[in-house]
Amino acid sequence: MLSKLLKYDFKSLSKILIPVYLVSLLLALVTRVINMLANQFNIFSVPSGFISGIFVVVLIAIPIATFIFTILKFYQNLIKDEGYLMHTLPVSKNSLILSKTISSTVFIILSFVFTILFLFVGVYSLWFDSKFLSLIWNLFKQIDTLFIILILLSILISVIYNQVMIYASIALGQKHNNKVMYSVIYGLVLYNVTQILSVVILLPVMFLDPNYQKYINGTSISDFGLINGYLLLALFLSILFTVAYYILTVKVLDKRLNLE
Amino acid sequence: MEFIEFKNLSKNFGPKEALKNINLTIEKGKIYGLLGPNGSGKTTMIKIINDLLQPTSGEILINGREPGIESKKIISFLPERTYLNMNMKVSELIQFFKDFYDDFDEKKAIQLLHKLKIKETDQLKNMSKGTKEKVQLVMVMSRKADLYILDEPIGGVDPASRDYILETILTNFNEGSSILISTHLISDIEKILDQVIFINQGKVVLNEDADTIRKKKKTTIDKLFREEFKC
Repeated sequence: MLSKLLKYDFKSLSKILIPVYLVSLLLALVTRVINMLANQFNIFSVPSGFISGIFVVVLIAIPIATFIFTILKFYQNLIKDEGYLMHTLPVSKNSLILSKTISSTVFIILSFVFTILFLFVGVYSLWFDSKFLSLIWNLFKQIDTLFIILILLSILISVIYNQVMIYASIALGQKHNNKVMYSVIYGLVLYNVTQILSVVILLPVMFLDPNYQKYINGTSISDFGLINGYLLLALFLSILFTVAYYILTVKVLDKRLNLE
Repeated sequence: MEFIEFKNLSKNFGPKEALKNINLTIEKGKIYGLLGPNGSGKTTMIKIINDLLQPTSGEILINGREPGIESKKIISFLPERTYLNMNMKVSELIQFFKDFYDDFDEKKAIQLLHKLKIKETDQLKNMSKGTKEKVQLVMVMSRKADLYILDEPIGGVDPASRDYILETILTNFNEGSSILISTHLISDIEKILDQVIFINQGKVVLNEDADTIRKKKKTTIDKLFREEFKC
């Protein structure tokens, strides 16, 4: 049943998000043309500045809008009227939530990819060129490979973690009459609980770790082994919280669903 | 045969008691009318059967088990509101029901929709409220379910279409299946009911065979309802 749910979740997100990405691509093309014209003719310098400004804002907004839209879809589909259909389908709550998590994660990652792609389409060779890219690449090569892998994994996990934390807040919030207000309150509570627990777990480890003491004294500043160790620990904690909030969401929507 | 059993079931919304100690049995092969004034607890009962609300105390058993995936396979539910994804076309909705319900009869759905002059290419968001209700009803009645639960099925539909819809309900449900209809438009549906359940302020106040009411009390269910719930 998961594959069928995924099919509908991907379709439903695509219907709105693909047109948004296409319009953004169009804007990237327009930005490129106007910027190229501005290089040739002075008269285009004002519109080019204007369009470039909008372009930058849109690039930043693409992942944010995608994230907000996936959360809205979750709410609309499972807590509002559409929930009457979704929760009476003969499928497990786990499948319902998993399908939402997978489809949203894919779209958020896609939105990052599109943002970078549109940046190239819009202003490559105008604002930056191959020299700049090779500079970045050379910097990259000096960085520890494991470190890069851990950073990429952290980004992926944080995308999933942030969604699931909001799902859990919505699941807890829907038990009350004022679903939206309580979802926001639970969101703030869960956010702070996570932050406090992370600090409570990480701080003693740092104080007890002799390598960390050396690190803050500045004696081994480029020690990737140490940084990677902490990244790994933080990653482990994020995964732990993600799993905990995921299970909470499934359990609450299974045992305490309240579609009033 | 006992199909659905409410056992000492109560449901509170905060301090408000929506259902008070309900004991009720729904059997196979009968058409039930769940009748009561606004806010009497009809929809709450229906939502509990469909696993959309959880009881505060007591229990509900469907074929001896709590509501869940197995009960959803055999219950076809029409809520009192529009639950459709408005970005879908009728054809996509048909595919959706086909994908998730093994008992969905696609041919029957298309045939019923055509009779109501609704095309597969129609967009749901462009339909009137009444037409959306008709589409939902067709989807729900095109399943070969053991129990059809219809919450206010004719509320937003014009009187001319009501007869057709009632006929649709009657001619499209399986032998041996049951129907539970909740409504306050009693005169429209009373001729099809086998069993009548009156509910008021969260309590079952009457649970009787429809013919018995008609013969023994020599009145219509509509009149009995008006007397029982007189303000």
